[in-house]
Amino acid sequence: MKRESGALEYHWVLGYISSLMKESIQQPKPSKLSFRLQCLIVFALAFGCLANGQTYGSASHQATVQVSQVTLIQVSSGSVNLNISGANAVAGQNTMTANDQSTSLLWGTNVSQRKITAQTNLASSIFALKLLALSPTQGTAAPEITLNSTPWDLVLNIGKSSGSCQLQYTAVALASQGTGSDAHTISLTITVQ
Amino acid sequence: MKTQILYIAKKTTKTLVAVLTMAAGLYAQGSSSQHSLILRVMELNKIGLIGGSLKLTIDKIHADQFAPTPAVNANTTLVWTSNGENKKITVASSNTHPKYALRAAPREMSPGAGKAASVVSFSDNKNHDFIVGVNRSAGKCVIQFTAAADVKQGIGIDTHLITFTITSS
Repeated sequence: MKRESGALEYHWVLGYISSLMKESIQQPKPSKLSFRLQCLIVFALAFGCLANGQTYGSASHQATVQVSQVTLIQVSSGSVNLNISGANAVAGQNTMTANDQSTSLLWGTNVSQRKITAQTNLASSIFALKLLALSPTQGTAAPEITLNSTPWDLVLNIGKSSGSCQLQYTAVALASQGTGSDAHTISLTITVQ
Repeated sequence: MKTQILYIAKKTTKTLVAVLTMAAGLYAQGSSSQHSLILRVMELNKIGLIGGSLKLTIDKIHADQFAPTPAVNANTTLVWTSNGENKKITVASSNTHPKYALRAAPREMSPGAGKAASVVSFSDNKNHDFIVGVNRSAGKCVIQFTAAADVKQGIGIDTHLITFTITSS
């Protein structure tokens, strides 16, 4: 639109100059002041229109893309049930264990130097509960940890990655501890390494 | 003036809403995930024998007593684990009328794993207490079998199927 408008103005000004020149030739005694004034106006208009006609128009604005820190972590299942029953005991041995590998951990972070820690909300559990990250697709699994209310390293060096691993819980009970149950809420956190 | 104040108020509200929405979004992304884990330990009782079948042969005689020398076997070990309370281990033979005397007694018991009951004589197929006071423990003991015969009983064979059981006291 801008370009078409400029072209139209350019043709109109040329036409106007041409008609003025014709009139000045046709008039026997043109006024000097009137002639100069007309010429000045004509040239001013012509220059302005020509200058305008050369710029076809532009528009600009600034676009900023900002990538913020994104950190996601999720467990595949909301709950795990782990039972130590007769099948997990050996006659003559005080220690009884049970194992669960039914859940996976998935994560993604665009920040470097990160690790995953694990902890339980249970300050004093009856039985020991251990956790190990099996086959992490990114990072390195830490040695098996015994969960308590302090965060312990589970997977190290996961920086700028999306990955997953299997969670292996191992419950350890002693015959001398008797029967009972522990209700844990396990928190898995991506944090600075 | 009033219009300007209203304009500023509207702008401020919009900005606040935008900031709060962004903050909520970041919170929803989160860097922590939780799940629950319920660990249940049921009551369990396990018992086993190490040593398998055994044979007691009476083939000697006391020269001074003119009686057969009892045969002794202590090659079998009894092992158990219980996380329950007030348990005991009983023993019974399948032989209802054995010809020869057969006795069993626990030896070399694990400390704190229970208390030896009196020596058991298998004269019937009833259960007899072998170890009592088993509470939340794992233990083991050697089973000493002793077979005895009188010359009047002559020769023969008794076969027993001995069964040990953990049960409530």
